[in-house]
Amino acid sequence: MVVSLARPLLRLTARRPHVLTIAPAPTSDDLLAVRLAAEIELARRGWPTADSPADADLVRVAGEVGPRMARVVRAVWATVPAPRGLVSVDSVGELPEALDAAVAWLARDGADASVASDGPSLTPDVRTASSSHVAPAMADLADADRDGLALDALHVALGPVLPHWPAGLVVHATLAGDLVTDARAEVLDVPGPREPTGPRRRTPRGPDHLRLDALVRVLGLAGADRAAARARTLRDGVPVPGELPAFGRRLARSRTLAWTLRGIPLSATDHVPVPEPTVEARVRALAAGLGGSLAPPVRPAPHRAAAALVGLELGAARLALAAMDPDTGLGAGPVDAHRPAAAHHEHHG
Amino acid sequence: MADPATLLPLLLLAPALVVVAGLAAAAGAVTTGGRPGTPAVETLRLLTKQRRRTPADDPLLARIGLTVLPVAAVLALAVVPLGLPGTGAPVDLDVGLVWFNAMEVLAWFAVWTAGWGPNAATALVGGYRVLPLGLAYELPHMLAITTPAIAAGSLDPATVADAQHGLWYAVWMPVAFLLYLVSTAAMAFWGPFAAPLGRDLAGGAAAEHAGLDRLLLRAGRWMLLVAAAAMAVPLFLGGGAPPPITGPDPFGGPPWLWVGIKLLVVLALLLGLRRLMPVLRMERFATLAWTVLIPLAVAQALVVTVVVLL
Repeated sequence: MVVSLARPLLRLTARRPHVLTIAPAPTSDDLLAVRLAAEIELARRGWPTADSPADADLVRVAGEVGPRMARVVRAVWATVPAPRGLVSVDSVGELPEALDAAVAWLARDGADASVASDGPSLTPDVRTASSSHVAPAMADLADADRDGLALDALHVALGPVLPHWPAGLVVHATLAGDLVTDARAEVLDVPGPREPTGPRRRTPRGPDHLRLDALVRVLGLAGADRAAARARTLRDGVPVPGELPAFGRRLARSRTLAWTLRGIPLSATDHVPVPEPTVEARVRALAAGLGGSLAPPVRPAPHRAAAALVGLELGAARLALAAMDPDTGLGAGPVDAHRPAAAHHEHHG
Repeated sequence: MADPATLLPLLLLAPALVVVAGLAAAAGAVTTGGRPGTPAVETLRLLTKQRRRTPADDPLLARIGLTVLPVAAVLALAVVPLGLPGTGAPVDLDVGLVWFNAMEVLAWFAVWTAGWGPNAATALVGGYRVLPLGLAYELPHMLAITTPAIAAGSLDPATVADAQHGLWYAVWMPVAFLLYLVSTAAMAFWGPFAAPLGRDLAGGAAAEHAGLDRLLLRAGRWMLLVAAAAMAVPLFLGGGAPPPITGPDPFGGPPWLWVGIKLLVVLALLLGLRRLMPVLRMERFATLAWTVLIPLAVAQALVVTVVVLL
């Protein structure tokens, strides 16, 4: 409950809500269009992106979600602190209106129980929310460590609600500390993998759009915020001729960026997901291709991308995944979630 | 301490630090393309926001850590000569530099417990990142603090400031000054060194904290940054003395004013550093620190020591 004294404050702070976007895998062009329109609308309003549910004021579901994704939405919503709002948008047209309604409602009250009564765009079933996704992860002991030590193995489902994360993807990872020792991909509600052979899926996106979309994520994760904002502007707008190659050259030349991305291999296993051997080379290739007439970048299937994460530190794995930019529309999984063994091990803290 | 007059600056120190940290955050928002009012709105937003817990967490531990952060910043600032009447510092301590560094290191504890408390994977990994960060920045930082102390022959920051007649240590030992600036940002896990709160970990140690808990972490970080930046003034920029351009003291003015102006310059340099660099991966920063920064810091300390002994 929010005390009445806080009402004027709510009106002030509701003008700049932090938004957590949950987007399903882009299996159709419409879903992709909603996700992109949602990002454009956010940038236009100058609202910040929430890094995690704890940071969110507004949870926005961009596109129609399947049953598995709906469960994730409910679980995430259950952990968002009040005052909070939930917006579910199925088409591009209703986006601005739905956001306006949610913000007006945030400013008025901010208690969450009556979200559904406010309009058709707000998901009604928030009361059935469960917090299953945050159940404490069990630590096992892994025997096959590279140093022959028995270390804690933490089984974590990474995604689908993480900043700059491929839409709809869950990576079932085993972590030894911050080292990824096993990773299996699953795309919620989209079983797969459907290999990208046969007739190539036609998308309205040009190669530059794909490159910029991947660059926005890599730069955002690398903390190069100004370059990321520039890439997003170029992606969402209509760049004048010459603008794209100039931006690409500047990125490819940036020594600080190259230095911080150095030393992350993209082919730890036999799976070779992308032609470039490292994240640094991949980013440089993406940047150098901007505005040119090269073929669109290779986007691996999610399970190949996940396999390439094994052996990387978690932060490096995030950068690697963003750089590979797997096409989650191809689907992956399903994967059985890890079930902790009945026997409890001593926890080595 | 019996004299109430000496207690007054100490009592005013915390609110003053909050105000200056808020101004620094506003300047930071402007340099990253935001509005100056953003930190104020964000503060109000976090104050009206519910706090939050996670299953099987340890809220007491996390909140102890989160509270320690702003307190450590105030305690660190307490020994910095700010040009106040008397000796200049709110608390006059003849081993002020040691105290200052000890308070700074409390930030390790704060971030680590903030990440450990919520019992969540991303927060835990974020909390653990202070370890490589600390191992990388702390040695250059300590050497950068020690070098002016060697030159002045004292661990009292006021004495170090007074020893810079005519020539600031920033000119005399530029490498130590630069290393101090870089390690200041690292110590406040801020800017290029924000990996413990990294976006790749959904906010890292801050990922599961909401409301007041989150505010303590974010505000505490700016307070720590300002406190560490303030120490650069007596260590490298001559404390409250006017800038030595030509002749003895061409400018007048009270010492606290000069401390304030120099503090603004140091903060501006730090904000510029953030524009220059993306967030460094700890692996990369550790390599840089041990192969470049530490040898540089040792060489600088060696040069100064030899000159002082001659």
